[in-house]
Amino acid sequence: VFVLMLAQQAPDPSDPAGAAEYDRAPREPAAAATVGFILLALLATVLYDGAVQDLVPPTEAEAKQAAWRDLEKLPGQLDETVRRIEPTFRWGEAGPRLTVRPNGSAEVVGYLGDDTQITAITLPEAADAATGTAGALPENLQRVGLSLVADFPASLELAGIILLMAMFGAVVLARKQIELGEDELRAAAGLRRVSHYEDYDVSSGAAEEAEEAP
Amino acid sequence: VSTMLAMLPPLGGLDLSQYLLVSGVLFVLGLVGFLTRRNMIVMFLCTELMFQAAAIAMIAFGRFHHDVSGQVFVIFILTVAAAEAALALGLVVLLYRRRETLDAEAWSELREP
Repeated sequence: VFVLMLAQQAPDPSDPAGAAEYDRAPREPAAAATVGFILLALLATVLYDGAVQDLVPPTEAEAKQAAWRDLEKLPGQLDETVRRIEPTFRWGEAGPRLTVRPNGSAEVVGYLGDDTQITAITLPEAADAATGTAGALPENLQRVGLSLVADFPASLELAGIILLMAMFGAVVLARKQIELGEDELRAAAGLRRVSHYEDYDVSSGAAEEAEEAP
Repeated sequence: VSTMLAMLPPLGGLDLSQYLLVSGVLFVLGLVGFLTRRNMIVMFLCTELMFQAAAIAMIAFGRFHHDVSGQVFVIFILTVAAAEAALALGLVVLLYRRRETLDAEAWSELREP
């Protein structure tokens, strides 16, 4: 967007009005303002009288369950997180597995140190500065990345294709056709020009002749 | 920082409708600008403004529902906006070369009679 603003033509300093004519005179300002106000009124009505006020956000427990389920999809990170909390933790036979409780907490089951007794550890949600323990809930950025590749893989590919096509399209649209004459083509190929003999570089020609001489 | 963000109530203590109102105002500003301005580059900037309004609405809804899909869609919006910016800027350059002006009215003979 800032590149676009830079692309804007600078106002001509010699012009007393400052900007170009088409920048000073708007087109249908009254009609556009009316349309804008009507649309804004509609939006405000929907916002304050309509469906938006009736929306109910999920409870905190539901939100936490969703976040834990995202962590469940990442066994590597689950393992790393549990080891950061309990360095001597070993997983049970079932491997890295998270149990999400209805109240929004989550626990893992495994062995601590050399114990043969199975222990359940409730994972802390947020980091606790007082005890120095790290939080186990995945961060927002991690969840966005997971959702990007796990929930919308086709859209991700499509976005890449759109960008590639846009690059080609922009290059094709903005290119400049240059007609090359016979002489320019010969000059580009390193050959001597046919016509315009006065353009020919005499000094380099003399140097070539000197090299040819034994 | 992330823990401090997690401690904040969703939507930063504001109401969902306040975010949507900002988004709606941005969108209407972009629309009015697109309809009234005659400079092609400014018209194009106004479409970008409308894109950003949609992005704000999506982020607000996603945060309200504790769902990250809103943020993922904003990433897609940004992708499409970038592609569109490249194409539209190429078009504007092309049109400027034809008529030597950025005035959209210079092309008004293309409209339906």
